[in-house]
Amino acid sequence: MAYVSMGEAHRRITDYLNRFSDAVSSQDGTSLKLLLSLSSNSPSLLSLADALNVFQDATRLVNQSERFSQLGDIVLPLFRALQNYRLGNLTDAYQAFEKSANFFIQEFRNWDSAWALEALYVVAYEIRVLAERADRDLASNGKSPEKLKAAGSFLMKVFGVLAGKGPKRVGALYVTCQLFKVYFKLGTVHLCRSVIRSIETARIFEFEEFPKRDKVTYMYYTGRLEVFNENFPAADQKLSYALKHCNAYSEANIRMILKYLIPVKLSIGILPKNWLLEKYNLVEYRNIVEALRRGDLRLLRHALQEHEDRFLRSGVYLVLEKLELQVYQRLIKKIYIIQKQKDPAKAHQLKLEIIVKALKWLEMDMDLDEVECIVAILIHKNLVKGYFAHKSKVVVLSKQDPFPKLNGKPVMS
Amino acid sequence: MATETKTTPTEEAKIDLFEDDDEFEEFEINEEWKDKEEGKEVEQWEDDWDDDDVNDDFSLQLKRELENNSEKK
Repeated sequence: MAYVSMGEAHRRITDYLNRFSDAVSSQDGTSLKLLLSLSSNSPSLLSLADALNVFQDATRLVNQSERFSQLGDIVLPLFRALQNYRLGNLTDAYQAFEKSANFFIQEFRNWDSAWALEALYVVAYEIRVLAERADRDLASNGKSPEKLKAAGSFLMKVFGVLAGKGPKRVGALYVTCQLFKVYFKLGTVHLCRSVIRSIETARIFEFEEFPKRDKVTYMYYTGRLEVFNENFPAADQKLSYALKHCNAYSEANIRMILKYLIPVKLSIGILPKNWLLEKYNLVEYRNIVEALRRGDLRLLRHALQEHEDRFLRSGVYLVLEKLELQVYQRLIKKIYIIQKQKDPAKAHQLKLEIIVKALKWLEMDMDLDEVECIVAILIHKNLVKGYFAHKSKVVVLSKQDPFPKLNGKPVMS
Repeated sequence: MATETKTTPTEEAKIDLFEDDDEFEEFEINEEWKDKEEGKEVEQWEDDWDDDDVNDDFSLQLKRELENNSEKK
């Protein structure tokens, strides 16, 4: 902690208060937001924190000036938040910031035009980030982490303030995305539903009017939710939107979109090109793609095992596991084509025991009954067109298109 | 500066639960934004991969396996 003289401390605090007051009276959102970014660790805010910790009587300073006292409700808890943050008291920092933020949004409501939206975004962001740090701190001290949950409630309140007819409503999507980040972190993704419903059905919101960066973020998270719910056509649409409109410089975000989009594409029979996997370092999918391309069930199993932890953490494991049926289809199709080369007349009468042999080669020990079961499932899901001649343990394949392509639709459930 | 407190392994695990590995990075307000150029998109996806070609290594091995076993009879 740097040494600050009382005089210097007084100067710094007054300087900040002047800048705050000027920003509000001249409706300068860009200047105001810099004064609220606690977690940015900007030199000016850190030096202000040092000054506050030395001066210790900011309350009197604020209240003795008519100009400053008007902002007292917002600024005094903000000062406490900054002091606590500087001292590493992260829970107290969050608490004080939330108090300040509460008064801020009350004032925000009264300000006409959307001049302070940028500052509001910063408040929303800081609420989340300070809550996360407070919770990490609480957890590491063996206490129950509850600040992020509180931040979620607060952000819902902010959303409510923005959900009106005026120009402030374009800020609602940014706040929505902060809420998504909170809920995903807490694992309470079901809570996303009500805010999604507001965005997508309320008449005051026109989706195209929202800023691009918020639309991209929104489609990423709602796309992920569709993946969890196994609505693959919807997931494809949303994640593809996010991919198409994402900042091309933002490689980390593009990678995240692809991480979820690739399993979706695979489920509808579309493969990513190799350069895509290489460029964005998604090599965990390489063998899965190759397994589909080949019809190699052994490779699929191996690929799922090798990256099991990663796939489980991102929640795509089950999606990938279900690709097994498509790999079976590809394998049986290859067997059919190979048989057709040897004996074109009889190829469409495929003996189940040949499939058993192929599976044995792929280290899958299945008897005739089990194979019959798998083929029955493939027929049921329209991955194979044909019927059984039971006594001869043969599947009679349709002469026309016996292995229908998915054509961009997922396998029937 | 905020001080980092040391954590024991079990506490680390608890904190680990409150993570989303794939949290989207914040886009800054005036960050330099590059749109993907229309028409210049190199193909990212293939939908015509499911062909009838059986000349790849895997298919040739499969063919050999199926022929070997029937000869053993």
